[in-house]
Order: sequence, then structure tokens, then C-alpha cells
Amino acid sequence: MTTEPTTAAPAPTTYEIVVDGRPSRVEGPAMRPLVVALRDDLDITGPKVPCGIGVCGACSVLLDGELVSGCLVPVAMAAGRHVTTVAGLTPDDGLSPLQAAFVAHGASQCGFCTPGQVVAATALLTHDPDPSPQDVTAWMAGNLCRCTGYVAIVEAILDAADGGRQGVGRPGG
Amino acid sequence: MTATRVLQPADLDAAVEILQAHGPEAALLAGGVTWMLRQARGEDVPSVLISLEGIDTLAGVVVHDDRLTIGAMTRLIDLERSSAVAAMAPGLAEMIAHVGSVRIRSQATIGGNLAAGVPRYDPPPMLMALDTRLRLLGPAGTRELALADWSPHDSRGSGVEILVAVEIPTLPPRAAVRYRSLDDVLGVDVVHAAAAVRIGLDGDGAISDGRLVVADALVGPRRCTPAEQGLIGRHPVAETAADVAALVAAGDAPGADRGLVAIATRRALVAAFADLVSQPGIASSGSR
Repeated sequence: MTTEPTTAAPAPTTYEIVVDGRPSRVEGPAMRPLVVALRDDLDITGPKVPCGIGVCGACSVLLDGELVSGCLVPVAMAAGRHVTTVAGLTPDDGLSPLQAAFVAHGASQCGFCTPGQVVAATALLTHDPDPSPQDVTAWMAGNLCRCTGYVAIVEAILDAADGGRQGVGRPGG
Repeated sequence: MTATRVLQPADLDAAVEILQAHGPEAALLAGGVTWMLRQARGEDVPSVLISLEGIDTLAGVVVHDDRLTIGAMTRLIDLERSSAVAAMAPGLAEMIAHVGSVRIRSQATIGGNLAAGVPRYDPPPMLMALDTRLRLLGPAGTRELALADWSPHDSRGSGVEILVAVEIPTLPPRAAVRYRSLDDVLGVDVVHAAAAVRIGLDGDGAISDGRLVVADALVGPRRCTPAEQGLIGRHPVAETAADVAALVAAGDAPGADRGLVAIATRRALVAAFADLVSQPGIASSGSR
């Protein structure tokens, strides 16, 4: 983002963002949704754009470690910050413990919402490594899934948290 | 897509200067949620947005003896996690945790929420019930006024005023606040009715202070004075909640969704009464 005095210089048309650990550059305009820039400029297709109004959670990304809706973040507000998508949470040699728990529990069916679910659950376990089932339900309430009925998702997250408590590694670690 | 420019002033004085220079074409950008929603709906977004992000003095919670001072750029999730907020009023922390989803609360700020002037947003009724005051900064300096007396459209219309901080008076002993709302399932708020209540008891356990603020999708937060008067002298029991909810149904603002607002009122009162009777030295009054 630029600093512009009253007599303004031209606003930038590109913004530099660190995405999944890599310095990246996306196009403006300033109020372009971050998720659109990630998908169209950087070909990062984990975050989806189903609702575009912050309701469904399929566009979930981490912005400086905090869970946000990629569809509601203007690219100008992401400039100079770190964005993490589901790709950035995935180890080079396989799956994170949380992702493995999703597979083990059948917590993904069509898979459309799964990247957002994994990002949201990672944020939860980072914030609270030992959530109760109620904590998981409350935190994940903003991530919609039309296939699973949610039970398997909650079980997978609790399983991953339990694995973390037993020292088998943190989700997304 | 609207070719809005986002400007980043270095400090508050620069923000006021830029706001003044650009006049009505400019507006303020806090967390960005409301502007992005308006853009997604195809509504107008100003050609210039002045971002308050990065102005450190605008974020944080300060505890005073008689109030909390909350910087306008404090994110809702930081209020949700604030031990000071939870200690002062559990009902306030509960309401904050009810706003949107965790993703919204991670981005939205308390000042942006209030300045948006959206009738269905959750915090304004609760903050009005708490007699919250606002600190505003303009070219002539700082002024304070009650949230209940402020229209964000006035500040926006003047083009030069910035909401700097929110001042919430400390809740006295033998008092409680609670908020309840009814929303449609997906939270897109076609249906919305809400009530915030602040209840104080005298030494005999009767209600001596009652503040009731309601809102719905069509009409923004407003006090329901006849219902407030109906609280005084009563005891915090279910019968009182039902009677006062009936007063809301009969006497709320024209055009409001009175039936749903009355349901939210009864639920908020029941929750506040439960808080009160759980406090040390306050016994349940039974059915009085």
C-alpha cells in the first residue's frame, strides 16, 4: 500500500504480497478481492469464490496468521503482508496431520469447501491447541459444507488436536 | 469494478488533512468488510478511501477506573479475546463473539462497525445500552458525544471527522447486560431482530435501572422507553421479561418488526436476569 500526501501521486496498480512464503505481485485495483487476485494472477486455486460476501468460508486464507475471508479483503490491505492458503499449509512430502485426519475421517466429499475448512481449522488449532467439540463447532460455523453434515469435519479436527497433544506434530506444522 | 484509490496516511492529523482535501468523494477505510460487501452488491464505493490501518494509536483497549477506552481500529476478535472486556461485562464479550464469523471478527473493527451505520449490525444496540460515548477528531479538534446522539452519516457528510475511540462506562455492581438476536440461517440478515438490555438492581433486589435498545433489519438501534419504564420496580423474573416484551411488541417504532424484536427482548431479559441472580448477594426472587 502506498503513502500518499494530499496532493497525491498515482496510486499503485500492483501490490506486493508474500503468498505461501513466496514474494508475489498482484494487480489492482485497490479494492479487488484478494481471493480473485490469488486465483487469477498467481494461479493459486485452493481458495474458492462461491459467495463473494464472506458467508461460506470457501475463500478462507490466513492474513498475517489471522483467519479472514479472501473475498472481503481488498488487495491494497494485503500489501506487504503474509497470506497463507491451503497450499502453504501442505508439506512438500505429503499431508499435514490435520489434512491426514480429514482423509482418515472422510471429512471431504466433493472437496470444494475443503481448502477453506483446512485453513480455518488450522487457525483454530494455532489459537487453541486443545479445543472442545463446542469450540470446534463455534469456530467452524462460518465454513459451510453441503456434503458431509459436518460431523466428520469436527471429528477430524478433534483427532488432529489429539495427535498434537500426543506429540505427533501440529497440523500445518 | 470501481477504481477506488486507497490512501494510507501516516498519522491521524494526516488522515484529517486528506479527508478535508478530498471532500465528499472520500471516506474512511477501517477493516474493509462493509465497503467490500457494498462493492459485491454493486453499490457505490467512494473514489477515494483513506485507510486508518497502521495508525497505532487507534488500536487497543485501555482500562480506567470508570470506563474502558477502545481504539476505533481495534478488531472485534481482539475485543472477544480481551480479559478486560470479559471482566467488565460478560454480556459484552458474548455479543462480540456473536458477530458474523471468526473471519469477519478477525478483519472488522469496532469503529468501522459503528461508522458503517448498518441497522442489522450487532454491536450498536449493545453499546447504546451501555451508554457508550464516542471520541471524534476533526480539523477543530476532538469532541465527545453519546453514541445514541451520533449519526455516522453526519460525520461522513461533514467529510472531515474521524471516529477515534469508544468509551464504555464500567458496569456498576448489581448490574448486567445481555444481547440476543434472531437471524436467518446463513447470517445474510434478510431477517434480523435484536435487543440489548442493561439491568440494575437496588438493595431489595428490584430493578432500579433498565435500559432497552432494540434494532431490526429495517430500523436501526433505538431505545424503547415505555418498556424501560415497565421494568422499574419489578423483580428479575420470567414474568417481568414476558410483560416487558409485550410492551415492546405494542410500543416499538413504526415500521419495525415488532414481533421478532419482542422475542429478542424477552430472551435478552431472561439472560440478564440469570446473570443477576448468579451474582453474590443477589437471590432469586421467585415469581414476583
